[in-house]
Amino acid sequence: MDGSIFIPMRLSLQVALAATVLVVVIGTLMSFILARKTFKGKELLDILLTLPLVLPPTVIGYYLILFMGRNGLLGKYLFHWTGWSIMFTWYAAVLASFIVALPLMIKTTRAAFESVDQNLIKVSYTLGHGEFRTFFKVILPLSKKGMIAGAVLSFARAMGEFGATLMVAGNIPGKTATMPIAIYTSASSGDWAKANGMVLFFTLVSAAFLYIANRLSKRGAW
Amino acid sequence: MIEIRVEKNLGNFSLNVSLTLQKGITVFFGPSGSGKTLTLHTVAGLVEPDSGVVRVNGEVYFDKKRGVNLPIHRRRIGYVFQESSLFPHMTVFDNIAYGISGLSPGGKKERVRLMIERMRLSGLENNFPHQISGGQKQRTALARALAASPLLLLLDEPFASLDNPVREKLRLDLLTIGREEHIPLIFVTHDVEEAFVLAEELVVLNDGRVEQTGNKEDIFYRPQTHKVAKFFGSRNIFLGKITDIRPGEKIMTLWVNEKGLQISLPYRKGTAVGDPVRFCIRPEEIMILKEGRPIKKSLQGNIFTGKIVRIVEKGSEHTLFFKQSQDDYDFEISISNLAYRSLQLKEGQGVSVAFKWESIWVLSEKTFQPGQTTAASD
Repeated sequence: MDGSIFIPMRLSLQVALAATVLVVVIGTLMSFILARKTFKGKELLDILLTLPLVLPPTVIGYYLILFMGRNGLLGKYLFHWTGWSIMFTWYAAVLASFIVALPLMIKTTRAAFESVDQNLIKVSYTLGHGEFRTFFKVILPLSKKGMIAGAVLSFARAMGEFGATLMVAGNIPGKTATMPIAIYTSASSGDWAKANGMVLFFTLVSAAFLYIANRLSKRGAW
Repeated sequence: MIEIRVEKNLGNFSLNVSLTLQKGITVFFGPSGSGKTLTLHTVAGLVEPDSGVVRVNGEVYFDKKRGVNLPIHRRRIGYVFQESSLFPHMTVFDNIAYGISGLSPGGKKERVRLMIERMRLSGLENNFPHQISGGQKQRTALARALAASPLLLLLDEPFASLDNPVREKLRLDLLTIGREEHIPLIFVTHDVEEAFVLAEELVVLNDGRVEQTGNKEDIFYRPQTHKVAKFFGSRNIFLGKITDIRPGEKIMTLWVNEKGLQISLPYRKGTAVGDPVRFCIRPEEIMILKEGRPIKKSLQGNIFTGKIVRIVEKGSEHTLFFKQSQDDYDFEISISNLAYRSLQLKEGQGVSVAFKWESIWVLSEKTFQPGQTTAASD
């Protein structure tokens, strides 16, 4: 097999893994806030975090350009102070994947948090543990299954991310051209042999990940 | 000492209780929806009262006026729920160790071992909650609450979902704990037997209010209200009107209109002919007279002749429904199986029944209007 298949594959994995780590950390925090706290604007936050699930990836990409571009709302300060822009780097691909995968993590994790027996949480309080320790010792371990499922979904979504990534990270071979983008390039330039190889390889790798994830979440059950 | 003075309005239900509790086991008794659990929740901090004060051993847990509301995890209150609420991802050992603080790892282990031994859980240390029985689960929950050295232990119908023999054993365990731990225990139940086995002090709640507090004897034999008399099985509760007073003989006669019953009571000062009186007689205080036997003097005045209209077996005793008047039945009588057999009673049989003056308890509540003389036997 052509060695050039492995470069976009490695890039895809690298982007998806980095995005998943971010998704798990931020998603868990957001899920906790949404599941256990009441505050003004909670509904709005919920909608904002779910929106990427329903918006077309091009719209996400467009927003990212608006915010993070060299002249974007945040990007211009970043560029002003550091002379660096996230656009057309693999970080931009991570950011795009993170945004589109985050709602999947939040949906499953929030549901898992909310399904923890309220009495267990109350018992933990009466046994002298505050909210923080109760979260780590009771809520988190009892939500393991849902969180693993959320992380797997997020990873899968990040692996398959195409539209937003293309808009903010471009199609630079070896730098930002992830597997889906490389496949698109091959197919649109008529390099069918390469496209076939990449599609098959990508399918196998994705299936293998799902298999591992299934095993993991089964072990998380008691 | 525990002081609970709280009010809480929940729209269709309002709680307004004021209680002072000492060491030992206090039982909150009442029908479901009477506010027992809500009261516990205000003490534990699980529910914030609208107003009032909660103080434990002098420390203010809640004081609306002063704006004090100590968070749950700083109240040091043990809470055992009805459904076993063990952490499913922890072993029996880890569950019990969960609330222990301020001890070295070695000291912690020692404390857990002690609790395991006391609650008869040896050998189950490494089991997960789904691997042990219902009774073992509740014993673990008790051990876990006690291991954390609470200042106060709240038990919200902890044995309600257990089988009877298991429940009886656990009650005895709890009595031992009550004696050994020098902390107040509040036990919520709607089971009369459970209330009596456990209570040193009883608090009867109804509809968000305290109906009566007192020891078992007070509640059982000297109920203050119609409701308390009803809850604790004074099946024969009547409302009558005084028809005759003979202070010289220390007797007053009461006429229970609808029933056509005439009953004599010891004279009470301050009563006058025409006064309404609500009184009750416990079903086990009514005697069935054997024919041909001389009648004791103490029974004279309250002897009734009629017939047994119905007999219901209730395990260790029989309930007889006695009728003298045209009514459905006049008295409910409980007799032991032994007495039942020796009397050879049958439905429809004519008998005479009697009770002593001392068995008549006059309810002091004045909730009824003077002149209202309909009999209430519910």
